[in-house]
Amino acid sequence: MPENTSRTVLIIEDDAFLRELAADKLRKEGYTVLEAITGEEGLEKLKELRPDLILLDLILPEMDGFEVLARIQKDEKTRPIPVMILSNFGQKADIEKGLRMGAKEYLIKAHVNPKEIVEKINALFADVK
Amino acid sequence: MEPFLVIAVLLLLVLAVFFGFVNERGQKTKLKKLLAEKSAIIEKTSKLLVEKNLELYDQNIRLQRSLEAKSDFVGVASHQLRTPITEIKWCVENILDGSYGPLLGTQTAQVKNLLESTKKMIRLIDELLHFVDAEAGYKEHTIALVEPEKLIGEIIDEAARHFAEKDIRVERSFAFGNTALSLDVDMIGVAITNIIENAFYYTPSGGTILISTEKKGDTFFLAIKDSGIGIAENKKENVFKKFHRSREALALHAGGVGLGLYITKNIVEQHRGEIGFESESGKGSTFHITLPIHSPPV
Repeated sequence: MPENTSRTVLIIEDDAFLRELAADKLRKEGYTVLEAITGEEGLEKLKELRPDLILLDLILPEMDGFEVLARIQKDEKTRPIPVMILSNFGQKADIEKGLRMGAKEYLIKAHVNPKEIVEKINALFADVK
Repeated sequence: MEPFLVIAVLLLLVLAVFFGFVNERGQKTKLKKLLAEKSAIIEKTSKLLVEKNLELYDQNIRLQRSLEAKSDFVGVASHQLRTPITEIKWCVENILDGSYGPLLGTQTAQVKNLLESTKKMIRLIDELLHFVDAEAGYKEHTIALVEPEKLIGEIIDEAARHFAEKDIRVERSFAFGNTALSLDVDMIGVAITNIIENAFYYTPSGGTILISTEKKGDTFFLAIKDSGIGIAENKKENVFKKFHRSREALALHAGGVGLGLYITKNIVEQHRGEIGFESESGKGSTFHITLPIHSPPV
């Protein structure tokens, strides 16, 4: 657990309860958690605070998650930060689109739980190392 | 010959021709009148037909719209339900794994029940969404060329953990090869998953499931054979009916809602395929799906 303390995860999610539940779990596991409600806010925090990983929802007010992902990938400085999509869209076309656009992982909210999200994040960092 | 007789005969002839002529004229006029009457009726009828046709067309569009509205409603409502149900699930899972402190006494068991109910609701919502998709027919963009064995392999791999936990052996015998079929991947994925899931739920621990493919003429043939509880003779006609569940099925898999095979049949038929099964109570079931190799879904 202590090895996560230096790692920061940014959650871009407009649903307060889901955001809180995921954040709770991540903090418990030693991560530093940043939260953003909209895509715009997420992009700002991203540039300013340089998290180690982004958890990204797809249905967001105004700018949707795909657009946020496109902007992250377009900017050289933010492109290396791994993005994990966390959405309730489960169609193959959406999953393929997300992965094609550069997301490292695509999780369907209703089919995972916070513990599994943390496990996926741990595994992703283990791969990066 | 007597001139009188000649005149009489001639006169008779003239008269006969004259009356014949008059008679014919009369009949012609009558026929013409009849023809005009009939033409008028036909014209009126065809006008009526055109009107009815337009009316039907109108009704058809209205029906189509109301069907679409119904599907949209169920689709949107189900999708909207996913966020709150995910919240409940995540919260319950966090409580269960001790994130908010330890649970006391019977609390663990009760919270586990809560989680099971939540998962059941998620499955129902998933099925409702599949149901809407399956009934709405296919959108062009979702159809792609897919190798069915690859798709089936992915589905089996994904479920491998569950099979291992229940100690069920899954055997594959793939003989179809790598010909690609024009399929709605998501929907066919749902159909095949449903049958494999059923095999999983209705086969006791220690059982075997054999998944085999082959080429039969111009079709792709898939068979999923299990060593499960089977289907009783008098329950066979209900297998593909929606919301229908036998008592035996309920006992083994309480979380089911009775939509799976109905949806599956719908999907297969929309791909111009066929679905059927053989089963013997207590010995197991074999479900098979046949899909045409060359024709795209309806």
